[in-house]
Amino acid sequence: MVDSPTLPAFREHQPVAIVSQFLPLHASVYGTLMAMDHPTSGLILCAISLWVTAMMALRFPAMRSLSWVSCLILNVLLFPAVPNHGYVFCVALLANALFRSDLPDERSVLISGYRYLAAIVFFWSGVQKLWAGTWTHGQFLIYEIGHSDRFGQIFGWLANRAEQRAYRMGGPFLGHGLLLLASNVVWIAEIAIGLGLLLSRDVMQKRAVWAALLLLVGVEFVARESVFGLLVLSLLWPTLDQRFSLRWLWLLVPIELLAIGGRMSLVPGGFH
Amino acid sequence: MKLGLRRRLFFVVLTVLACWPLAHLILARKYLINPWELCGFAMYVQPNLPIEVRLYQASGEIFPLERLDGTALDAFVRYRSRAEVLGLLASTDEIEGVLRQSGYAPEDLKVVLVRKMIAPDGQWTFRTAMRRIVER
Repeated sequence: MVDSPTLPAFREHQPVAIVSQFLPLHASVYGTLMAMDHPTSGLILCAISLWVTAMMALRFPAMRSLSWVSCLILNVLLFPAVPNHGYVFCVALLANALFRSDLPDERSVLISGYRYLAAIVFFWSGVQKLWAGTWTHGQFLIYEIGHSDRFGQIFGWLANRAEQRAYRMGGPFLGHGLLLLASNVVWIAEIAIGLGLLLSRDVMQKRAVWAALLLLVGVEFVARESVFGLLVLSLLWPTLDQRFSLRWLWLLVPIELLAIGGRMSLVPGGFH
Repeated sequence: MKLGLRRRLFFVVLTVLACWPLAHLILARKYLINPWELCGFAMYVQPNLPIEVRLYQASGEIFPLERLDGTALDAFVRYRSRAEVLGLLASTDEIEGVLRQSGYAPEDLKVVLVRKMIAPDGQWTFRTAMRRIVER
């Protein structure tokens, strides 16, 4: 799919060039986690293949196609236990395989493609919450505060006595005050961000990206899904076109290790 | 491959991905597929509680699973784990086979799935879906 034999690895310092090289590596971490959860020979081979193709793609961009194929096979073998971000990985890696980040025409398509992908995730996350009706009165939040340490630590202080009684007694889960506000802010923000990312005006796109990153930080405090978090960050960063020193990429190593350590129960806190 | 073709191909994929959650909404309601799974982006919409699987006889009575041997029970455990994600879309072929081997007529049995969910009024609700093990 990508014709060029080589791309100067990381030399451009373009955020999109960096992201397009990071994504296959990040997908390898995803593949490793899935192989740890379901240690079958097929999934282990796919995880190894993801690592090998991702490393080779640093030097030979054509290998990104194989990275996408490895991810696709991994998801097929894993089905139906594919997490939602597994599908997003597959589409992001397809974009990576189809478009080159070093050609201006293709770069803009790649950046838009990443952004549209993130828009779909945000928009539908918000719509699903609205449709289910379990966030409009804080119902889901109250339930989770009572049943999940992660939610309890972050949102517990928002629950008043009636809400605390509700989750102890098993319902009805109806929120008031700050909890009601927080619950509604989440789904409204998700829909607004999803739509904002689709706007054509550059300045609006960037505002939507900053809002998305703010929400993502909040989500990560509660959900602690660093694989999903870094994936969405990767999809959004190229739109901002914020250049950064490559040394900052080393920060991602402990975050990736946190996910693996969490999955192996070596790290407390429910990271995964 | 030309850029225009690649671009069209990618946007077809994006369009499918963007429309799929609509189908997911319908499948979750009708077949009780897991809202957290299958790319509907409906994580954190409902508590992710285990699905309940019941077998009913033609008479309307619950089929006593304890009558089955270990192999048949293992098949039910595997069905339950598939139904956890796929709801009623999970294949019943394996349990049909083990029921026949155990001397039961699967044509007379129905499988009922029950998902415990929070309703918009904040109360618990039990959503159910049913299918025959052997579709006629």
